[in-house]
Amino acid sequence: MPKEKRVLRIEEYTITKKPYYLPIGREVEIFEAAYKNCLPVMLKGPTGCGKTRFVQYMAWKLKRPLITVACHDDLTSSDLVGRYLVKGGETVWVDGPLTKAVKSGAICYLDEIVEARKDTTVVIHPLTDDRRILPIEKRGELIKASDEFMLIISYNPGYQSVLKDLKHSTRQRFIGINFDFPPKDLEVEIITHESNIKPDIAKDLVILGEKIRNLKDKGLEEGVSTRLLIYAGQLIGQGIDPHTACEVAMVNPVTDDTEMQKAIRELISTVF
Amino acid sequence: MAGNSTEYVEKVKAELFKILGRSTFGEDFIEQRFTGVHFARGLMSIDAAVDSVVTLDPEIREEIYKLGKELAKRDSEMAYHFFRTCADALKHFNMDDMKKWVEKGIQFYERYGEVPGRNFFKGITRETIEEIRAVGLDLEEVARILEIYVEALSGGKLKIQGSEEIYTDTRNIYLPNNVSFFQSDEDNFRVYKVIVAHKYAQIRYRSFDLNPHKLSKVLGYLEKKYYRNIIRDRSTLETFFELFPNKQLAIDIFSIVENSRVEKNLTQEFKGIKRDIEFLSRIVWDERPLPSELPLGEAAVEAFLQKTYWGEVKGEIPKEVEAPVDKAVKLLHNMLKGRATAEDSAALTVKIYELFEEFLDYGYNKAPLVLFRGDIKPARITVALKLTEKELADKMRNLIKQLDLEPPEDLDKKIVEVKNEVLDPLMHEAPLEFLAKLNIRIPDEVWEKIKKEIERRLGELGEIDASLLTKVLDSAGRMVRAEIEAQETKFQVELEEEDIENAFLYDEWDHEMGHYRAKWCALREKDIKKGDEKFVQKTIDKHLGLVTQIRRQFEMLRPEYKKLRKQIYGEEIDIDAFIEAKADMAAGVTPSEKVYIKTDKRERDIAVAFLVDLSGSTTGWVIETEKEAIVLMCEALEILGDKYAIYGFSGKTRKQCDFYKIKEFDQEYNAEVKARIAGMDAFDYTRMGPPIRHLTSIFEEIPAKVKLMIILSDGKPEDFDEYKGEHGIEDTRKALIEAKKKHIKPFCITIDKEARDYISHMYGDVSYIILDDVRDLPRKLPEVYRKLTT
Ligand SMILES: Nc1ncnc2c1ncn2[C@@H]1O[C@H](COP(=O)(O)OP(=O)(O)OP(=O)(O)O)[C@@H](O)[C@H]1O
Ligand SMILES: [Mg+2]
Repeated sequence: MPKEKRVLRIEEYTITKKPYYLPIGREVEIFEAAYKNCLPVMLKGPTGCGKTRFVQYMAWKLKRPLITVACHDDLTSSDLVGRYLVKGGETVWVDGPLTKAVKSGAICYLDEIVEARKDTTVVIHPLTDDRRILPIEKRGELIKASDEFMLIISYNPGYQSVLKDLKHSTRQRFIGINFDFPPKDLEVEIITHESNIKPDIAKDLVILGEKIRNLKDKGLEEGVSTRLLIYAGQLIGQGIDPHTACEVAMVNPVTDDTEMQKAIRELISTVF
Repeated sequence: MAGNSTEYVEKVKAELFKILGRSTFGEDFIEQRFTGVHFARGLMSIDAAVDSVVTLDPEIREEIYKLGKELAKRDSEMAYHFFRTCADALKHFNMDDMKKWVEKGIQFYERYGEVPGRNFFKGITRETIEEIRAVGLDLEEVARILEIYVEALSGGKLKIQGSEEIYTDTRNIYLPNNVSFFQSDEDNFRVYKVIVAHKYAQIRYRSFDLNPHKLSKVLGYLEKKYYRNIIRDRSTLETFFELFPNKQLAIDIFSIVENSRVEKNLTQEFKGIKRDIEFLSRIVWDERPLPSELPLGEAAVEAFLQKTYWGEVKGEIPKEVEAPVDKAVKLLHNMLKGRATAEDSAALTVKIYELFEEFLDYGYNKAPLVLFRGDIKPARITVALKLTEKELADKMRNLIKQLDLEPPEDLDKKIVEVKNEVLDPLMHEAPLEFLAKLNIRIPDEVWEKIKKEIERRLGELGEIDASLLTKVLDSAGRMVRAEIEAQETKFQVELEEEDIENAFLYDEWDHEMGHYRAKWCALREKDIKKGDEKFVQKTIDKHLGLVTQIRRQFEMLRPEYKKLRKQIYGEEIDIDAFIEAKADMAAGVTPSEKVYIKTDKRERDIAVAFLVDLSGSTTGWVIETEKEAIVLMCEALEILGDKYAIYGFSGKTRKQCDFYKIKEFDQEYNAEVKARIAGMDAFDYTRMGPPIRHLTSIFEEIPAKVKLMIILSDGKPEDFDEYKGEHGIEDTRKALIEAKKKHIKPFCITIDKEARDYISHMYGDVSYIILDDVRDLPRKLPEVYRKLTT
């Protein structure tokens, strides 16, 4: 059945176990305020700096189910809103993740919204102003979102391709919380926690990360993410030597430029 | 290979004979016998050369023949010796080395004549090997890696420069042009790396940027003790050394003390570098002299160095210096136990100087340098520190002016002090922090202005941004700054009849009046003079590595057939969409007609035009590099198949806006275009509005989904007339906005070291990058393009 074939990844759940999240600034407070005021939120920041983890944490904290949609360029509005299916000669309507979230008062997280087709992003417009409604064209329905429903999108500004950019009419419907890599001490704490290594190794990883991040926009598109530092930490935790661990986690993933790679390798052997 | 058939040996012999032109060799020599003077010749046979050459692999042999021919052109005897020795030489050399070896021999021959030339190739000595071998790693080869490396370490800009000497002046790192201590490039690279890391540490831990207040006691003491006067206008460090009767001894002691401190900090910050330093310290040890063979003063310093660095001394320590050296070592160890500063090192230098000065009567020469520690050059440091201070003061003065604040009287002096309080000398960037440290109060009116700006931005973007305040400060400052700049003298020229003839006329934005000046500028399309046809190939050769990389990267971007789902027509049925339509029908909803999949290759429907600043200010490096970047870009675009055009612009006043056609959209990238790229040159001024407007109108005729205008410039728009300062910036900004309205995406690349503040305003919403080093351009341009279009 084509239904199973769809690429869409949907994870729907109520988070029962407290996710590990270390607050960096006032983001928890701001998010809660937004939630109380029914404001949609845009999380901006580089890849791998804790946006997804933050949303999971907030969903747990606010005790709301979390529905995540990873956006991609084939995502259509039916994929979000829902569609009719034929089952045994009968037609049944199946809600899409967005509709499900609107009805059940969940937090709906559209990850990497820029990846979605422009005509898809428009369906969220009426949901994100004070009307808070979701039109379901095919059924001729308008669903009013419950107060608990919250829409979150994530967006990596980077330097964007001219082919993909978030339209102003879309982005100006959200309040934006900026994410960046955590400050040194906190990042050490996060890496230690996530990868089960000694704090002093985590500290060296953070020093290395900081040095590599100095190269952002000077030949590197993005600095190494917290996620990559954690990967390196996890490999080290598994007994891989730090040089190899950092090489596989931090050289190849960030650049193809051979001289840049060599320079990063030298940084690794300077730190470890 | 050796041991081949005689047929094969004969073939080699024949080839060699062809090259050498004879089969017996041996210098003419004179023999004196009873019978008189005899000339003898030809004692050596070509076979010796054949024996050597047959052992080579065929490909190598071909290369060797070529080299031999070069030599035979000059002297066949010399070539013969070359062939004889080449098998031996190849045990030490690779092909590049061989070429160098031959070049060197030719030089020898040309300079000193045939006999030295022949002798040169008769055998291969250790010295020649060391001299020639490409093991010597050239700085040029690794400069970029080192630059990236130090940029990552420091987060700031430290320039890498080739030099005879190794040192830093706190702004530049001077490195030898070639390092050949080791066999392998890898090890030689480590030498560069350790020096760079070491110099970084000297700057980071402030070896040379001493705080005059903290050192005032020491300076006063020296002044009194040695009856010397403090010379004004020198850096504290230079002043400090000048106060000693023997400056060199002071520098040598300070170098040992301070570098020990720096190295301790460095290896604490980065554990891995320790390995590299230790690796090098072994060769350094081998090079150290025996203290017992030195005059006492030098012996003391040498023993002090050896003891503190390696914990032992080569040979005996002369009795007289033993006690003072031990004392000095102890003092240093004590100092290193705590959190010492460079000022502490200076104070300790005085103490140790006093311990050693009695030996100065025996004469004193500068201690041989420890390779990676390099030298200390106080005068150079003074110059560099002054420059940094000036830049900092200018920046602050600007900010103060922009914010309408009252500058304190002794701003310069204060800035020097504040600078010394900043934790990390490589991070002079945070202006607000600086203002606070300078105790400059920001008055309420200014805050009001800033707050309003914040509110406006919040309203505009609805974002909560940590760096917002700084941004706002910048723009609040800009408003004031614009007023200052607008006062510049203005004059205009008139457009005469003949100026208008055959010209495109464009409006210009008058920001003061808030309207366009109609048909204000006369622009003409011009052809550019053709340049060196080989320029393109030369550029490709020069950047071969980069070109290969770019080709590979763009290869991957090449449009592939892509299946587009949910289309009105197409060659396949979109099952998903079809079933959805079916279900809709069953449910009584009008189904969508978009149930096909279309295979489409025209996904990349992109047209890009490059607009290159050919104003006079680009003369030299900038224009040459712009051209190289364009060449690399063409390579990439040819692979991609995107439509592209290249234009240049310059001009003088509104009468004469020149628009140079280098390649138009429908033109092929042929020899003519290549020659025109080579012919791009620096002309007059930069009036940016008209060429942008002209290109916008060219774009209107070009069918493409995405239209990209990439502008390369080297700074502010500026013309001979009033087109400068605010007016130029505002008109350019307006022209860019007009382009955007026509669905063209402008992207600006500015090569500029300073004027970052006007740029964000001028480009507004338009994306841009600023390069402060033009050398980055050939790499950056294709990279930017790739990122923009994927
Ligand atoms: N503040 C934080 N507290 C706890 N963990 C964090 C924090 N920041 C980052 N992490 C860790 O970093 C990893 C990457 O973060 P996450 O997956 O949330 O990134 P992201 O911002 O969603 O990235 P992307 O944009 O690529 O989706 C997480 O798995 C988590 O381990
Ligand atoms: Mg994520």
